[in-house]
Amino acid sequence: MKRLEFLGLAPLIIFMGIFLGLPLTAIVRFSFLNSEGDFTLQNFATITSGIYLDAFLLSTKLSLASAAISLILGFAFAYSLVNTRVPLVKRLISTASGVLANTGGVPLAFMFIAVLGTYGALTTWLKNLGIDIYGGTWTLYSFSGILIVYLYFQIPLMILISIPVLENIKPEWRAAAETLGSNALNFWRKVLLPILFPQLLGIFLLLFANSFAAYATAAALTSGSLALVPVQIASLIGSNVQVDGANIAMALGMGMVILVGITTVGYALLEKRSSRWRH
Amino acid sequence: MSRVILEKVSKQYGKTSALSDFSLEIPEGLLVTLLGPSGCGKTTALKILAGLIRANSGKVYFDSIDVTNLPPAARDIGMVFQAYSLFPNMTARKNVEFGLETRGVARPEIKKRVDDIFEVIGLEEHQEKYPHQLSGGQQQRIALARAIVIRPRLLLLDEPLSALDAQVRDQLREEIRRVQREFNITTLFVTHDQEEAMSISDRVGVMFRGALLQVAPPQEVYQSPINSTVARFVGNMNEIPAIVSGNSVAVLGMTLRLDDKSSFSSNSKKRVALIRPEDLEIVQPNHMGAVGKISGISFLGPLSIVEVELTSRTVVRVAKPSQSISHLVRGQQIAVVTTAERILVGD
Amino acid sequence: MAPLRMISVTLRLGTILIGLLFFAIPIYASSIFAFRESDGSFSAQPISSALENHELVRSFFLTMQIAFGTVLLTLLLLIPTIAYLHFVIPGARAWVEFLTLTPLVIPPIVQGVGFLYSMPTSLKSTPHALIFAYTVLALPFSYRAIDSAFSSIDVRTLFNAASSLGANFMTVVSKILIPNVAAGIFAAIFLTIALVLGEFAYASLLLWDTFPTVLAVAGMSNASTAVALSILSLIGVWLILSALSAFNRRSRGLIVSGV
Repeated sequence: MKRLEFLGLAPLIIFMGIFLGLPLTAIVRFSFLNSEGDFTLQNFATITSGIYLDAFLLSTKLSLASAAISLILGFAFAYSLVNTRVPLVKRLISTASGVLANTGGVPLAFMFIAVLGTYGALTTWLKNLGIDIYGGTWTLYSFSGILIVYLYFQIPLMILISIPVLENIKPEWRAAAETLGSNALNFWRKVLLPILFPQLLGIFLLLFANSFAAYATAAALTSGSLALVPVQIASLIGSNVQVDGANIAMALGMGMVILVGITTVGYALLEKRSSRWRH
Repeated sequence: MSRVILEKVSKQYGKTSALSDFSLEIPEGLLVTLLGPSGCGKTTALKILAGLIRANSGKVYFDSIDVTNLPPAARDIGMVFQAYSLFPNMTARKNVEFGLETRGVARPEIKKRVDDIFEVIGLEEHQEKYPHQLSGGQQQRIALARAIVIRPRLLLLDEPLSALDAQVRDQLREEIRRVQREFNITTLFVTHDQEEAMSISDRVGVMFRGALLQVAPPQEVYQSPINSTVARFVGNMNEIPAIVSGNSVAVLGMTLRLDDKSSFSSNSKKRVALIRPEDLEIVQPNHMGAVGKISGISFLGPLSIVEVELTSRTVVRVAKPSQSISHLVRGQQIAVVTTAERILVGD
Repeated sequence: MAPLRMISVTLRLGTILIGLLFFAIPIYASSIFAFRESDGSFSAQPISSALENHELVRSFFLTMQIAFGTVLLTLLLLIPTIAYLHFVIPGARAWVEFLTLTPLVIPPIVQGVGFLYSMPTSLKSTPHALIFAYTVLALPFSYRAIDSAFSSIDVRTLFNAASSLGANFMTVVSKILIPNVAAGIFAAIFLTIALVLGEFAYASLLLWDTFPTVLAVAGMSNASTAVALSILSLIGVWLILSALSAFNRRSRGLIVSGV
């Protein structure tokens, strides 16, 4: 009779089967086909070369950079936040982080066009000070420009994730280290960082996956001019020019799923391992 | 080992005073316990001794050296916490070595001392285990080892047994006392459990609301409490309505001498006599004592508690050896007298 | 104060200050961009022109409709399932939670492509089909919110206690179960609305005129309006999240990655 009990989960499973399972199946299926419907591995060959390989590399580069920078900066912010004695500041920054982490990429992109775009408020202000940030080759839509915008949803995400992690650090560890004669640096090196390392690594992977999968920000900002993987996928679907376009897009999608999948599993495993220690 | 003195220490948090004009001496090699309910300031006092908190005023001396402004690392102390003492990323052994390493002790010496201490606490086979693989009692013993192996001038224990199971608590309590005696370490022990305080301390300091009420050996605190607050907090007390006139107390149908060491305010009309259960006796309801009915008998092993409801509706508890009350039953009419010579009186 | 303490306090204050600037500068600068006229004065013209933009207004209402539908479908699907899970087969909870996390592994853009190539035309011809897609997207977060609310109460014990006191099923559900999980349900509702308000990938792939997609297009012709609306979007989400934290005393780091 045990099996029958699981029938109660049928609605959820059926729903997910249809609206997640079917799309996923389509992705897998079409990635192995060409536009005529024949089986082929060509799509995978295509995505691992030329412009698509470049797109993977660019996405990876952007994601590594945004993940690394937001890991460090976000952690530093969160650390000062957790230790602050003014609860109002903590609440303000937490909510602000929540906003930036949870709003779609479109408002974020426009906000930055308004700040650092060619006629942005900050650009103009700096110009009045004599600094022309557009004087050289830099634009908001270059790699570093996009990186800055990405940081604006990555860092808040990092802050949000870090707060519970930091609050789990027992004050007794620090007190014990102090009474045993250790200074702050030693404590960080020998106790705190080793404890936090697995979690931080996992969070890095999460940030990487989050950045890699992001589409709206890049789309709104560059209208498809920066060749990131999600943007490539969208343009392949949108255009009718590319032969086997849809199939290539599917293959790209598969690539993304595998990449994001591996990093998410990595995050989950590291989380599990570090929680064992903490109890 | 040091003689430790807290002199007129005060600590405020906003408008609340955690400690007011607190002075305490911990003689060399003795175990002094601070006993009191939550929020009485005992942990604050301990943390000020450790240097983890700064007092607003007052001084701390280790052997006549003023350490008030020294950080914890410079005070040469060992500390055991209620929970989470050990570093989770290090094995038991590495935890114990930590303090020695930060002090730059030579490797061979570290090995010797750590080997010895593990033998003393009897956890040699668990040295390479991580904290999450050890039981609560084992973790606290290792925390103790870690604190002692550095040969501190002062050992501080912040409710180390509170998070443990009853049986483990008793064992560990004895072990702490044993180790403390063996190494002759000046120790401050903080707890809210009076049984703990009584059983292992050389001196007990009873605290209440930021003030130290009485510091004395356990027996003295129990038998000669300095005021009714201490009397009520330590051990069990019966509170029986009494009438005070001059030097005498009329209670339980008897007239007794007032304990001249007790303090009480003279405004209130109502008085209660504070009498320990073991200072009460059950007799035939003939001429002496207060008449009442037995409302319950609780068997506690060697002792039993006989609950008596007096005609005045007061309920008293009488402690008697279990063997001596086999003739008593519920509902029986008896009388209660006191065998105390001096009576403590409170409000 | 010891010099070391002063350094660490300064560092901490400095970091917090930088953090506050981090959030404040873009909002401030973009507000200036959007609302300042060429003569230096401020006007609400971008907002009024937004309201006059019929396409924009229409898309907003469409998005709100879709949001409403998504919330409804989510609650209808999840509340009975989770209640059932906690009451009948609590052992399966870990597996179901794992299952609901799978949409996170497939980026919305990829899901959108798959949707496009697997769903029947009937579904693809109405924007309201996004309701199904968004329910899936929101699943990891809405499930967690409601599940943790149910976890914080012992469903079985409460149910047994109430039943033994004579309450019937409906009474137990309405008077005991729902009030205790209300916080989680509200969290799920708000999170879902925030997600729908910002979702771009799916909608643009399927070529529907939802608020985010129309906003993106509008931005190319009328930057001020787009920026003004973006700022309002951010404020809107901020209000939603504040309402959320008012209900939730212990938030578990509510995270939606719908960018």
